[in-house]
Amino acid sequence: MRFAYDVKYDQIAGGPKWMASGSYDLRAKAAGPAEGPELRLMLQTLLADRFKLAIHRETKTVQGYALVAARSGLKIKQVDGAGPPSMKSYRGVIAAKATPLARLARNLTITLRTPVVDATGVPGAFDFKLEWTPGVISSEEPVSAEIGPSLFTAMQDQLGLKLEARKAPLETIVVDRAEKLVVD
Amino acid sequence: MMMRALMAHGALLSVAFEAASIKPAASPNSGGTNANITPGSLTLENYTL
Repeated sequence: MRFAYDVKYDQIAGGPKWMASGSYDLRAKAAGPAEGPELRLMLQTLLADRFKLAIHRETKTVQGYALVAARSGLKIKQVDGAGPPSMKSYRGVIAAKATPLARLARNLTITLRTPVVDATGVPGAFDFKLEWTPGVISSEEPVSAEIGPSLFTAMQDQLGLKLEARKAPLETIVVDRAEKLVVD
Repeated sequence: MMMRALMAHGALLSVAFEAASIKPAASPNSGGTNANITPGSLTLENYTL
């Protein structure tokens, strides 16, 4: 369901208890070279067929963050026609090429496990590399020069961006019905 | 966007895989999941619904 509806685990609610325990192997082939959005729609159809899955969507308001420009102004430069966007993230690093800030917000949503919305109002694409001390998120946590910057500090110092606590909308997939898979 | 527009006009009545199989995981206790997504194919191993 996470892939089919492009959501994280905590954005799925409801459904029978067995949904959290049984695990499955799935192999599927499309008639043509379908990309992500089409594959998601096909998977939704498949889950509705095999598991009799029925859902509805709800949007709730949760505590999150808004990505905004710091008072110092942006420290990253816009790039034009620099090729397709790419973003790599691993422990304590987010490196991006030709990437809009909305995508950084989505990546931070995963990193922080909290909704982050792009409120910079800045269009276009950027090259940047953000490096912080893995596991050190807030600027309020004690940080020494030996440990290195927190994520919040690194964002301001390296990118000229900051995260402001803000209520944010979170779409949730609510399972109305699901039946155990009948194996042939 | 185009697909949504087509669906909204009823031009695309169903979006389905050409072939698909779902089975109980072969290694349910391995503790890990594996996903392989390429244009036109999708493989997910050891995933819960």
